[in-house]
Amino acid sequence: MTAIQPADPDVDGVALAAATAAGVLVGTRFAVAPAWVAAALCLAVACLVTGRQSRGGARRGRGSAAGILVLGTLLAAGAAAASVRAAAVRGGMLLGRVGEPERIEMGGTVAEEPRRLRYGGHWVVLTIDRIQFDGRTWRTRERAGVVLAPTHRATEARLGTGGGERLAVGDRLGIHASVGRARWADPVGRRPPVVLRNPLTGSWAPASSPMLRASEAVRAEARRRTLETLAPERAGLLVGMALGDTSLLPPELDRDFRAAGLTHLMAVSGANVAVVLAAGLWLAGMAGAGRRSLAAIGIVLVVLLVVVTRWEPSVLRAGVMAGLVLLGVATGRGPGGRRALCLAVVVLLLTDPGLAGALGFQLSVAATAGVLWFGPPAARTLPWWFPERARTAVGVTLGAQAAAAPALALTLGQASLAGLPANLLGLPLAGGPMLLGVIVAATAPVAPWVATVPCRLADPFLIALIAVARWAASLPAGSVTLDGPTRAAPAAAVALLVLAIAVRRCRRCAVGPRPPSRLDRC
Amino acid sequence: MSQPPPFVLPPDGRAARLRALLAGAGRQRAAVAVLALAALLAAGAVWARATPRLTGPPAGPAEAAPAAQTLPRASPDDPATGRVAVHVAGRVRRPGLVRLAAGSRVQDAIRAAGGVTAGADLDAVNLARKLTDGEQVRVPGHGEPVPALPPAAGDVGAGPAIPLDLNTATVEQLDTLPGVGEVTAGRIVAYRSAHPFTTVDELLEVPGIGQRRFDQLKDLVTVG
Repeated sequence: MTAIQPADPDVDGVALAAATAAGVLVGTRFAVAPAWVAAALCLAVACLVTGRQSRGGARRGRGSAAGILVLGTLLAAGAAAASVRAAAVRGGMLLGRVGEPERIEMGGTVAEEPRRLRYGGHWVVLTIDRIQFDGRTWRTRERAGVVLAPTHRATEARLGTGGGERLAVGDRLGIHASVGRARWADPVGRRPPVVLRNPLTGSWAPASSPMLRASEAVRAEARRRTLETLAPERAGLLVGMALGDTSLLPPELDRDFRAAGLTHLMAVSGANVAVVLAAGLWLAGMAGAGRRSLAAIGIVLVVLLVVVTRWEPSVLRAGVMAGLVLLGVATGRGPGGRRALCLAVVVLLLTDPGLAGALGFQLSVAATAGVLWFGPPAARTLPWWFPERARTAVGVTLGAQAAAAPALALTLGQASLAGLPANLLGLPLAGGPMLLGVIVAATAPVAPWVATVPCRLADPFLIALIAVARWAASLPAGSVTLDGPTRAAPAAAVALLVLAIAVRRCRRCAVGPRPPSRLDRC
Repeated sequence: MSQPPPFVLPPDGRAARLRALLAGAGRQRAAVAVLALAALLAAGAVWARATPRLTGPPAGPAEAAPAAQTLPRASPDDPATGRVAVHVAGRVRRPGLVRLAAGSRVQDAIRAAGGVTAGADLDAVNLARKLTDGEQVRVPGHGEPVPALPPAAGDVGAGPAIPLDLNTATVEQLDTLPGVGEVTAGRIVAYRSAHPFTTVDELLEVPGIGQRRFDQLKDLVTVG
C-alpha cells in the first residue's frame, strides 16, 4: 500500500498545532539559549527548502521523513519564538530595578483594556518604552502592571463606571513609581514580570494611532447609547456580549453568569464573528457581490471586529480562523473548520507565544475543538426522537462544555454543573444581542437615534438571558469548587470520553462500513 | 478480499495511520517554511526592540556616554552605566584612574591599581567599602595621616556648623548628617535627580524622612 490516504482526516493538522505548542512550552519552561534554538530553526528551514518534494506516489520513507522534518521545524519555531521573548523578559531593565526604593520616571502605553478590581481601582498593563533615572533616558520595551486607585490623578473620571471618556488601550501614561516583582508573572511576559508600586504622578495623553482612537470612540458611544436606552444591568450585558467590554456589568450579575457557566458569552469569540459575518455577508450577497468580493468584505469585517473588541485571545483565535476559511473561499481551495483551527493555533502561537498560557486562549481553542470534533458524535448518540436542529445545538453545547471543562477545572478549580442546562437555554438567546450590539456600535457614532432601535430589540433577549443565568446560579450544587487532585477529575473524564470515541471509531473501521442510519445526517 | 476480524486493528493499521499522518504533515512544508521564517524575523524584531538603549545626551555631569549604548545586563547597583570610575592614589603600584563594575569594593580598586607597594598601611583603609563613582581611594603609608572619612571633593567635612547644600552634596557628605545613613543619603540623591530641591521642606517628600528626622536636619541643610 503505497498510495497514502489520510485515514483520519485532520489528524495531521492536530499534529502541526501540537508540535508548535510543544515547542512553545519548551521555550517557555526551560531557559533555552535563544541563539541555539534560532540556529536549529535555520537549519530545519534550510532542510525543508532544499529537500526534494515528495509527491503522493513516493516511496514510503520519503513522506514520513518530510513529515518529521515539518513537525521538527514547527517545534523549533515555537521554541525560538518563546525563548527569545523569555530571554528579553529576563534581561528587562525594570526587572533589574526590583526592590530599589526610589521611584523612577517611566513612560508607556496601555497594552490591554484596564480591568476593574473587586476592591476598587484598576489593573492596567503598560508597555513601558521610556525609563528615566539618574538623569538618563533609556528606550526599551517591556511590560509592567500597575494598580491605579480610583482617585489617582491619571485616572480620575476616566476609569469611572459611567459611559464617558476613560483610559483606553493605546493611551500614553507617564508614571513615577518604584518597581516590584509581580506575583502572577509568566516567563514570556504576557502577564507582566513587574508591578509599579506607589505610582505618584501621571500624565495622560490619548492614543496616537487614529485607528485606536476611532475604535475607542466607537466603544464609548456604544456604552453611552446603551446606558441611555436600557437599564444598567442590561446595558452592561449588551456591550459585554457584543464588544467584550465588561466594565458596565454589575458585579452581582457577573457572579451569576460565572456560577451559571455563561461567562464565555462576555468574551468575544467565534459566535460573535460568525453572527457578524453571516449578517454582513448576507447583506453583501443581496447587493450582488461575487465570491471573491464576499470573501474580501468578510475579511474586512473580521479585522474591524477584532480591533473594536481589543484583540482579546478568544477573538484573535476566532478572527484568524475565520480569515483562513474566507481565504479558502476566495481561492477556491482552503481549509475546513478543523484544519483552520489547527492553522490558526500555529500562526497565533508563533506570533505571540504568551497566548499559550492565557486562559482565554486555552478555553477558546478547547471549546472550538470540542464543537468540531466532539459535536457530531455527541449529536449522533442522542435518541432518535430529537429534532434535527436541536440535535446539532445539543451536540455543539455538549462538545464545547466537555472540552472546556478540563482547562477551567485545572486553572480555576471551577466545575459548573449548571453550565449544561444554562448553555442549552442561553445559547439560542445569545445570537440576537451579539448582532444587535454590533449594530448599536456601528450606528451610535453616526446616528445616535437609530442606535436606540437595536437596543430596544435586544432588550427581551437580555431579560431572558439574565433570568436564565439567575435561575442556573440558584440551582443547588450548580457550581462546584474543586481542590487539590480533584481538579484533574474533569480532565480525566474527558480523556475517557475521547478514548471511548476512538475505540468506537476503530471498531467501526474494523467491521467495515456502518449500516446507513437516518441519525447520521447531522 | 477478506475482512479483518471485528474488534481487532488490522496488523498494519497503526503504522499505516502514523505514516499517513506524517505524510499529511509533510505536505505542508512550504507553508511551514514560510511561517517559521516569519516567526524568526518577528522574534528578532522583539529582541531588538526589547534591548534597552540610552537615548539623548546624559543630563548629568557624569562622564560622557556614547549616544546609544546597549545595557550590559542590568546590575542592581548602578544600572545606568554598570561601571564606576575611581581615582586610586597613595601607596599603590599604578596610581591613577581605574574603571570597575558598579558594586565593586575598595579592595577591587586597589587590585586594579596593581596592588599596594611596600609600606602601605591597609588597616587604615576599609577594604570592604563599596565604591561610588568619582571618588578617590588613598592608601596611606604607615604613620601617614589617615584620610578623612568623606574623601570627597569639597572640604565641607564633618563640621555641622556649615549647612550642606541639598542639591550639590555628595552621598558621603549627606551620610555625615545625623540620622542619615547610606540608604537615606542615596534616596535624597535619587529624589533630587528627578526633582531638584527648591526648598528645604521638600526633604519631607523623600521616602524615609519623617517629621522628627526632618526637625533634626532642617538647620543643617540648605538649598543653593
